[in-house]
Amino acid sequence: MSTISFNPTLTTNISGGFVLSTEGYVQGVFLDDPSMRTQLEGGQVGSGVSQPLWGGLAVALNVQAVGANAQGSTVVPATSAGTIDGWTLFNQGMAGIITPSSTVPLYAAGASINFARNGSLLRIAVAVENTTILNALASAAANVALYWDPTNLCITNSSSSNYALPSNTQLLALSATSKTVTYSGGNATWNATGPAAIIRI
Amino acid sequence: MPVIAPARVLVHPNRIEPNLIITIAQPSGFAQGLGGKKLRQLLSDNDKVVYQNHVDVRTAVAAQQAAANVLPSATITLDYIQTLTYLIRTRQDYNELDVADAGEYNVALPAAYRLAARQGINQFIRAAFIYGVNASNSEGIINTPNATAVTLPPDTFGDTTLRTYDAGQLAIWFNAQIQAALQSMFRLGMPGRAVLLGPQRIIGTLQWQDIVQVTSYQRPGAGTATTGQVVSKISDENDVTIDWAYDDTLIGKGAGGTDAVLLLVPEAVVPSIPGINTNEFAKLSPTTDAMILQYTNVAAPIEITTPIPEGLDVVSMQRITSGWAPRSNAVNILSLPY
Repeated sequence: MSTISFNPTLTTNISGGFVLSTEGYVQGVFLDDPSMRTQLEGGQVGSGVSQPLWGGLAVALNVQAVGANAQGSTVVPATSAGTIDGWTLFNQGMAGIITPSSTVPLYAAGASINFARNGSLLRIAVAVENTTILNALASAAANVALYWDPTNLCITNSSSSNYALPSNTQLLALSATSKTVTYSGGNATWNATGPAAIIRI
Repeated sequence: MPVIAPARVLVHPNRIEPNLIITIAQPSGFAQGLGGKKLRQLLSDNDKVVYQNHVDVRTAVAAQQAAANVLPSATITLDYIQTLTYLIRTRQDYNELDVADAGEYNVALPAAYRLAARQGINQFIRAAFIYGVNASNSEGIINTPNATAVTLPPDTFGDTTLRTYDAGQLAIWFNAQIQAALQSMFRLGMPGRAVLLGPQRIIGTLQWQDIVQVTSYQRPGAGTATTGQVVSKISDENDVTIDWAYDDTLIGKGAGGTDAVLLLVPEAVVPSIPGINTNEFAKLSPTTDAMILQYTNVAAPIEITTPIPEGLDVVSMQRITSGWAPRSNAVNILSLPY
């Protein structure tokens, strides 16, 4: 069962306090749209999830036990191409926990988490594996084959041991200067200038 | 701690000079490196941790000749940072016999104890500022995560130590470090202040000995000015004041046992340009221009005086944080072999 670690004594400071430009996206949010925002759904992180979740992850959305519907679908990491039902999102998910050492909102087992299902047509920002892949995707067709890398928790253009995203996923935009999530040693931190993409799911 | 005011053997006739010879400790210039040159007096007596909120933004727009309705959005992210506070305390017990014995030496014992307590506390505040109370937890300016650390490279003659280094090249190297620090904060062209806090033997050599040598070509200060004067003068001409500050505890605290000089930029005037300002978001308030922080609850230690059997007990205390640089760009650790 996932938990969130907390170092009460470490003195911290910010990274990326000075940037050339703020143009870019933030992993794990959908772009505002007054007609689509009602597609944002709430669920609950599965009790067996071993690592906390954050926004911009490909997840399976399982049905709760009979009659236990109030908390929404059970959200667990996708384990195959067939189980990518949707994407976790930070939008309105203010119950996510941060600490001074772990500045990305985390959702541990049992926490409420927001997500969007495939087919919702929301435009969401997701991390791209690296800038080489980001550049390889430039000028691609909107329906370029994209894959979910279950190890590095980002999208990529390589099928090798990765999960294909649903064929109706569209690639809309790319940015090399976005905020993406780095998870290490129980702490999730923002990478101030990471590669990210906008996809329509 | 007690006072030791023993009986003296004196020869008569004699004359005792009324003034005392008092041990002088180095008055550290560390406070020059604080935003506003002073501790931020914001703590309550009981605060255990200081937090500071951080707001970041990523922006995106669409631009077409006609209006479309699928538009991108700006995203604002909020998080926070922390540092711990520490309560510094020290105690003195004395009675009228101690006061009388010290009085034999023309020493006012209550005043001496008060100043001694403050000196002890102040020296700990200096250590907390530079080195942190707990260095392994990233406390202290010299342990700032992601701070720039630079070691003086050999000059073109292969000299590696301050005493042998070419003075003109040394001035240009210092100017390069100042430029790099300001540049990383988008501060070029704006008035401001930078602090060079280092041991006397380093800063003093720059100011007194290192006269820029005359060469076959003209260079700033050749034959007339020292490295320190060249650095100050060129910074002045760029509207940046250099505050030279001294603290000999920095001897041997640089990389590989070299001397450390801290190049600090204590205040960040939010850089802006009239009209279309590509840093518009930073107009959001409240914000602070202090880049290097150390907090306290009081301007001088609190004293609690209590009668005890046959005397008085005086506890002096002050709550502080270690030196804290929320933005690491403000801290540059220069290592110079002496």
